[in-house]
Amino acid sequence: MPNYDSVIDKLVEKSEAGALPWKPTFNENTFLVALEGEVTFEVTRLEDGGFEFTMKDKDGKKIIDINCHNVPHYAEAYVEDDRYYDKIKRLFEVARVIGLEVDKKLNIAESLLDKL
Amino acid sequence: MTAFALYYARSAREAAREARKAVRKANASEALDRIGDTANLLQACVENDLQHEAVVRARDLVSDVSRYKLRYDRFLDTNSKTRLDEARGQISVISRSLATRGVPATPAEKNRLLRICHEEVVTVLNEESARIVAAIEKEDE
Repeated sequence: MPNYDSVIDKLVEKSEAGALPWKPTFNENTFLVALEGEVTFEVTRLEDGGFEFTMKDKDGKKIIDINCHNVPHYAEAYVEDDRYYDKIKRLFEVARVIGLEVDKKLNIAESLLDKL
Repeated sequence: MTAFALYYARSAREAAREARKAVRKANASEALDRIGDTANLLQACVENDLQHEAVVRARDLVSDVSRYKLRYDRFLDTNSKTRLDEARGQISVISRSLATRGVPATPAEKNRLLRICHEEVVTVLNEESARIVAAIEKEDE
């Protein structure tokens, strides 16, 4: 199985630096970003608390498809994808903050509260 | 070759070039019309709660955008390709949601779905198609 750590780490790093314009979608728990017409990343928080992360190429084919849950490595239910859980969770949170413009809206809320 | 023959040869070449240009422009418009029709069908299916039909139309739309991107690749700059990838991603999410959760139950959710379809897909494709037609015209100048 290929090692996806490097690409996920870079994605998190660039997202946290504000370099990636994550966008909301019809599913309120899915955010996506396309890069240079070459690759598209998508991250979803699943209803069971897990996360899904995909990378598609320019033809729309899935190159990475990770479905991970918060399962310790010694548990019987543990699968290989679960080792990415912490990273994908962090990626989802930064994608959500960017996609929904959370910081901007928090500032607006604070300004409104200050006026009271 | 006489000057007369040369003149007619040039005219014929010019006419052939014009015909090629017209066909390419018509093809680009036709491809876009087809995508527009599919988007309208999807909208009608959602409005009439036809889940199975809506899923099929959403999948058609994902394929249409992929084909469109591939077919007009050489006319698209990086920004256009990125916008088309985003449009395909948005429809893909809608398609999965329709397949697993069905057509949205509330009018507000339906409106949100239709707004995304319109703003993120149809509008983007309209703009990119206009650019492609302009690029075809420019190329033949």
